[in-house]
Amino acid sequence: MKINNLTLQILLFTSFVFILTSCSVTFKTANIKQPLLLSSRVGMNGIELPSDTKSKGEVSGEVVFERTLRGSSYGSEIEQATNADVNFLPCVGTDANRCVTNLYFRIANYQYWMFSGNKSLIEFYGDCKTIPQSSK
Amino acid sequence: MKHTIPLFTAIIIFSFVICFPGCSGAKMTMTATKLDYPVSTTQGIYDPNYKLLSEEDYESLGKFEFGISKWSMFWTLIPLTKDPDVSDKLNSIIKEKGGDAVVNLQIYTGTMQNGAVFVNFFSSVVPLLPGVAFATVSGDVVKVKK
Repeated sequence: MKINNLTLQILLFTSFVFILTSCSVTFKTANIKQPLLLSSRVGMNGIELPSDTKSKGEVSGEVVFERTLRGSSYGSEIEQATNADVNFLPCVGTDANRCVTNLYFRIANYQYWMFSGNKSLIEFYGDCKTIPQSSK
Repeated sequence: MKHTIPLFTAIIIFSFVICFPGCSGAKMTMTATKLDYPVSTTQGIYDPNYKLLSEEDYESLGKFEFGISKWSMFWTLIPLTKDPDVSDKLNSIIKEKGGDAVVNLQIYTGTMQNGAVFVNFFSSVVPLLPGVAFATVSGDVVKVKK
């Protein structure tokens, strides 16, 4: 297959743009003391939350990083990664009996129109729970 | 009039290719619904009596890291692989290390990860080609001190 100069230039340009606007995010929660759990398995020895545990609502949020050729960007890997904490604080507060269960994640990478930029995104969703005093 | 249909078709195809890359990319949903052990994204876990444990109460048995991915085509409209449920993977890692739980679980994803950006570039122009989302899951396996 013969590749002409224009095709080569377009490929080189788009590769350059993609590398220039590449981005990534990390979901991590550094400063929360309570468990933020991926299932309803909350304790050692296979202990699950009692079935009568009342839900205290839901928690959700996202860590995101976007870079485009237009220069509009928001977020940074470090700031956004640690910002996940603020989404959970209203739910767990400082109460040791509060936790989050059934966390799941939507992970995405997007390319923008005419390949002018990139966006990395991790959305998270979970249930706020309180350990019943009768369980202790 | 002879060229009406080819020209119309060309405009449609051109519009399709130019407009739709705006929403190109790849995505997946990561769950862990069948865990046998507690897995937390923080340092906190509960003991069998629901007492909150911290770093001083357990010892680390080592870190782990593994990758997950999902392939799709036609701008993610047609999934080619399932959304990852990492339960079995986490269960086997904890069991293998003889641990009680996982703490500090983290998830990383990036547009350049494993060359995904180039795969997705071509799939955004030619939607018949598959696109992919990659992510890395890492954490610490811990055992509670007796």
